[in-house]
Amino acid sequence: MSTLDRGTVENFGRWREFSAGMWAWVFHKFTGWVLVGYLFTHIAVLSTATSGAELYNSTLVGLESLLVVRFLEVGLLAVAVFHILNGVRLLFVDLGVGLTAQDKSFYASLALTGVIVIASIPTFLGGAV
Amino acid sequence: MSTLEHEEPETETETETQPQFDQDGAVGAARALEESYGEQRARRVDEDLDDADEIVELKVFRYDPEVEEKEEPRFDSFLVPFHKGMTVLDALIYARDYYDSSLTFRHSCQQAVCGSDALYVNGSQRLGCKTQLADLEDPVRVEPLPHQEVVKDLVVDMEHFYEQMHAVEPFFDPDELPDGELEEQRQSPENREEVKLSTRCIWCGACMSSCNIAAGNNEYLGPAAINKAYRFAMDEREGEDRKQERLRIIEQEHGVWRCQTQFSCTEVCPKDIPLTEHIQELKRESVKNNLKFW
Ligand code: HEM
Ligand code: SF4
Ligand code: FES
Repeated sequence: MSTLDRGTVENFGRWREFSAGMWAWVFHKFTGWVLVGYLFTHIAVLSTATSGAELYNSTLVGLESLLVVRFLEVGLLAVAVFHILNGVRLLFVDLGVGLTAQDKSFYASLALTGVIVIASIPTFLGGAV
Repeated sequence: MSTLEHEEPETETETETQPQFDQDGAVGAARALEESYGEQRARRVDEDLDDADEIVELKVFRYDPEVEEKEEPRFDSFLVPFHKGMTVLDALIYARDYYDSSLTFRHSCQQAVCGSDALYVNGSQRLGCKTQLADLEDPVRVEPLPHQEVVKDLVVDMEHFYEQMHAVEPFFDPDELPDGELEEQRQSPENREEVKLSTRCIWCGACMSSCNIAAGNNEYLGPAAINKAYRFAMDEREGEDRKQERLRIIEQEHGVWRCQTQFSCTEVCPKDIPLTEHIQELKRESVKNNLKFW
């Protein structure tokens, strides 16, 4: 029997048709790996302290004076907050609690992330813009 | 609460789907001589489209390795007369009967029982016979189930799905039989409640087709098979030994642990089985079975 394998594009080209639970999964993986990436930069920046206080201070002051770094920090907060809130949602899913409201808890994680990020903007961008 | 309460109201489809031949005796026969069958059908379609509440455009995936013009997959459009209550399956049957008799799809019961007409309709896995056209946006795009190979038009190869279903030994198999030959094997009402929803599966394969993990990993049992395993592992009548055997299948590397709780399967299951919930419960059963603090 000859059959048609619709191939990779067919399998991965359906993101427009995702629903809540699937988006939650995609965002969770994405934010998780961004956090891992940040961990390495974080270690690199902090490691300047091994070459003395002066270098450490100048590195941090230098980074914080860059506007793009301030914006990246807001982005990092957004990524971390979403990952934590959705992580708590996933823990409830693992416990079998509230599975019928899994889409609502995903939207709630998104909304709460938005609120927290907006509230953090004065702190992160203060003095820079 | 009985299973039946969850069924969609039945729709009367006979009149719209059966080709109706001229019954007017001599006059009909005379006309049939003058008109070819194709012309008759075309005239009938025109009349039907005039009579219809609305006209729905059906865009159907076509592919046939044995026909030259259909070797290259494409979409064909059919204008179908819509009457209140018509389902996607009714529309496909109309298109096959009046436009193109080579249009191929599986169907049988037309009442969400046989599980043969799971299709990919407007971007989601649905049963053709349980999906009202009125609930869909026009044009209605009908494709074969994703993540399965296409045999012809809307027919996909279900072999792998059935293999996974059989892998969980989907049959009642108690450790001990009752002494009396004709004695019933009673189940407590509470236990029946626990497995009730899981017994509804009609093997349509919609869940498996919607699952990203199953798409990328052919060894993963998939939601339907795990739900089947749940149905028997949770049945208290089978006994402890059989349950241990069942748990060994469930907790294997490509069993429940592959599930990443994307909820796609639960979303598409036409019988509203809480698949993710059952998978998660079996994960907890497996943990409880293996975790020992003493
Ligand atoms: C309170 C903080 C956190 C919570 C509650 C949390 C929760 C979770 C949960 C429940 C998962 C599993 C998702 C699943 O089942 O699919 C997960 C995955 C993941 N987390 Fe976190 N997490 C936290 C912090 C972090 C941090 C700080 C990092 C990075 C260093 C991180 C990186 C990841 C990654 C990469 C994954 C994906 C793993 C995979 O591919 O399966 N998480 N997180
Ligand atoms: S669990 Fe639901 S979607 Fe999956 S095969 Fe059974 S009836 Fe179909
Ligand atoms: S035709 Fe039987 S389930 Fe749809």
